[in-house]
Amino acid sequence: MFRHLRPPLSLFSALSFILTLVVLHTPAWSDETCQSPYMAKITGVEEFVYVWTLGAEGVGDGSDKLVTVDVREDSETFGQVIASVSVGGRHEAHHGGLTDDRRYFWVGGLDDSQIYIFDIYSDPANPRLHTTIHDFEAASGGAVGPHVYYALPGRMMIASLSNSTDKGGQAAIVEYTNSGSYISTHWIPNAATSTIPGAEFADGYGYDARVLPRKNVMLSSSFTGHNNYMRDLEDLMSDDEAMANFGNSMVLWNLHTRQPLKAFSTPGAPLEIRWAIQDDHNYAFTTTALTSKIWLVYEDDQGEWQADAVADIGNAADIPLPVDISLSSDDNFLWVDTFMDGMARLFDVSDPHNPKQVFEKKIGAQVNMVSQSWDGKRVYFTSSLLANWDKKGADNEQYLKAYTWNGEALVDRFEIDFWAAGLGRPHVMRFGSRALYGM
Amino acid sequence: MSESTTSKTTVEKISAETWVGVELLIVCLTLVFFLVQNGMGTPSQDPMTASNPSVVDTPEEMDMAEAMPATSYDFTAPPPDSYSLPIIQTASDGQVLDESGAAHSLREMMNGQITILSFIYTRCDDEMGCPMSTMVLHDIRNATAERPDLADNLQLISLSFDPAHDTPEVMADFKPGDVEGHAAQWRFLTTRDESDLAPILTGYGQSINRKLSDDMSESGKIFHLLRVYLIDKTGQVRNIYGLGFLDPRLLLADVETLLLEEN
Repeated sequence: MFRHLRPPLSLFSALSFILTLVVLHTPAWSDETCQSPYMAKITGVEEFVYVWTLGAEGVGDGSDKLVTVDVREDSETFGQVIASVSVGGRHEAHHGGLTDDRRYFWVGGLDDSQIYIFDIYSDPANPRLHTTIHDFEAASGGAVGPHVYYALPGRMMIASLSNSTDKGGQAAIVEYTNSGSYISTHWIPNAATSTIPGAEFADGYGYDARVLPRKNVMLSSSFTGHNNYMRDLEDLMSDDEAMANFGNSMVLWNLHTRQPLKAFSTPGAPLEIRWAIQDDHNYAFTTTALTSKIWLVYEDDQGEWQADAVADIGNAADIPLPVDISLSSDDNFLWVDTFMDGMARLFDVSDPHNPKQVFEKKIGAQVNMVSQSWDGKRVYFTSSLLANWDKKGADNEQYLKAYTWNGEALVDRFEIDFWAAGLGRPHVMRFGSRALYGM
Repeated sequence: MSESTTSKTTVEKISAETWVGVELLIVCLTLVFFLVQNGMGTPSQDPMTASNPSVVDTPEEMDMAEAMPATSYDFTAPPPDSYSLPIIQTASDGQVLDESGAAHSLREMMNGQITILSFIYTRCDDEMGCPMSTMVLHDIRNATAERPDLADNLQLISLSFDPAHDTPEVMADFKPGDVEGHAAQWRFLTTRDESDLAPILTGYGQSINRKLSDDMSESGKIFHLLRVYLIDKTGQVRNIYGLGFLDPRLLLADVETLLLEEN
């Protein structure tokens, strides 16, 4: 009976392939890489960059806000802020993610677990606050610090950083409907309760969660709890006991059943996860913040999933603090931002087991997030990490800087000083376009 | 029975062996064409030609590599009794028309069965869109012909979001012929007009955007996100499938999971 139970190899679809091959021309994907595979994609150049920005006392209205930047090169307002929507108060604005239909941009506050859902499709140049989820902690059964927002079909998956019991590192993955109704909570496994292979490494910490549907797997990574990420960085780093409370593991899950399969030892807070994009690449990269390494999680020749440290990022003894990473759409190059030295490093990862650094540039006194277009030619950087972790004094630069990557250098496109503009501390960026909605 | 339906029924009766041969031949031809167009398989160094699993219905802009069976599922489906499916939302209702043009409540048409609901439009020519979801439902329907326990408890609904074109007659004509044996019922529904359609799409969160031609007239193309819904016998949505989840083995495992839940 299961002869037919395999995907697109029926006569029906094969005929479609041929028809498509005959009529198609060069594609025009220009969306940001490293997004959920379930998301609608921009098929032209991005028109707007949405920046979830942490408010700062004495800067503008002091509130967290969604900032819209015009990146249409033929626009009179190219490179300028064209909209800003404050949510009132400071909530430790951090990450955000788009729904699969790309109509809504979910963003959150790591401090009080407020989640704001912005409508970006009614008028993509002027997002508006659609609704707010106030009860993430209660609905999820105690998860706090909603961090990564990742689109699943009809759903938003949210990786939390902490819990309400002890504000430590035990975290969860929480699912909501696109309309904002709670669905389910999956706690990150820990050694005390888990029996999966590698359970001895499982520590319950959370940070990112991303999927590879073709293999029916999901990966989660680990950071630290509310007690640490809301603390002053210098103070924290001088506290050995607190510094022991960082995640040192990653977990592989069955995507469909949301059941953990295996835990890996990846010491030093593995943060952002980037699955390879090409169809035959069964691997993902992450970087460890405290040990400054690139890790590769991959399926070996026997079909087993493994995790290996494959490269150093700068001099680990200097604690460059790798933060955001961005993989090119051909899986050949990986941008790695290091917060402490403000550097963007580009690694050739065409051999994923042997990354080689091929370029570096100091973006600013501090740098955090990086987003690149599908063709790799447009690269955007923002500066803020966390309110209490950003640098002090003159080094506390807050900016969005846009470059053209020409294969050899990052060439300036535009720059926005978020202090001078009265906005605050810019963090995550997402691309928008009217073309997504037939406009 | 209409002439077109008779033709489809005849097609259904071609032997499985013949189908496999034809499929392989066509896929091989497709592969040769693809390799010729892309430098005989040399990996492209231009990121612009990299494939990307998109779900935007823009066939004229689709990547060629995307047209290959790139999203083949390389895993073993989980056993039905090894997991549970949370309730996602209550399945929304609305007025629909069946293949004969008779009006019904969508929820009434679910009739206490486990339902797989797919939103489609018949003019869709994106092979990773409506044709794929219809093909997957086709495979599931055929599989149930050998599983009476599934055939008795499962029905399939393909509901058009293009009522101006997809009239009941068009939907009836679009419906594949019956399969031999006792298989799950497969209904092809539409709505009277946009005003009947809108609350259904809103209720399920199925977003669409009509693409205009250069002269701002209707192009007949509809931007949409591929969505398929699994609804249990009590009318609760228990799973939502997109491109990466639309593996018939997973859908059937989920259906069996719901049946085991009843017991």
